[in-house]
Amino acid sequence: MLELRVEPAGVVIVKGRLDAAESDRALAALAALPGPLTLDCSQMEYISSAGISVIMQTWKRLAAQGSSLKLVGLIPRVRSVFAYAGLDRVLDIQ
Amino acid sequence: MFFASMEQAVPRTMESLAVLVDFVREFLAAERLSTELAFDMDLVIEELFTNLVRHARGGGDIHVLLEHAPGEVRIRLLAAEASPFDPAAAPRVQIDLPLAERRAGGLGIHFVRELCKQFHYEWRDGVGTTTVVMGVTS
Repeated sequence: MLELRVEPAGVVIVKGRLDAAESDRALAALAALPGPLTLDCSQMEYISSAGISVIMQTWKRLAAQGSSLKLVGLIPRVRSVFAYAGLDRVLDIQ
Repeated sequence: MFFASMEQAVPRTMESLAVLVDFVREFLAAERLSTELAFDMDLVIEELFTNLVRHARGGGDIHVLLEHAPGEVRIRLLAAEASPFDPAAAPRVQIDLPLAERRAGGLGIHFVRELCKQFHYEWRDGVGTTTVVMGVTS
């Protein structure tokens, strides 16, 4: 299960598993939000390539609008998936 | 030499992922393996399963088999397929391109290659079998 909670100042708390069962819903929810966005991933337990695709598409959408996407609080296992994808060096991950 | 084996059959829908997550935990508990393995096993199974659901030409349930031998876990996915669909033959993705030029396609199989020490496929009598082996500390 995945829960997205929108907080003030463009912060979105991502809680649970961002997998292929949840990726369409997550992308649609994020697409409704203006940038800049900060995803608080400290409660994200898991991500797969479907979730990585959501992050990449959201980054591209915001970049095309001259805005930005930042990820904070990733647990080590989730961060390792970004590393496998070669995205830990190019995305704004803190 | 593989020992204990568990099998789970699931429909070709994304809702099956939750069933497979529970299945992995049942397997780890039964084999007294660390729950630390769950993340990587979930990732490998999800990527292989969703690849079949999205791209393979076949019907019926997908059977997932988990086996444990000293130092190794073997994962097999069996699916009825009208013709061979070999994920191990998928082209490698370029992960060093600028982000604006990157596509998400192919990343799932890239993850499988990153996490597994063996990855192969065979097709016989209308059934495709994908087999991966992951190293574990057991």
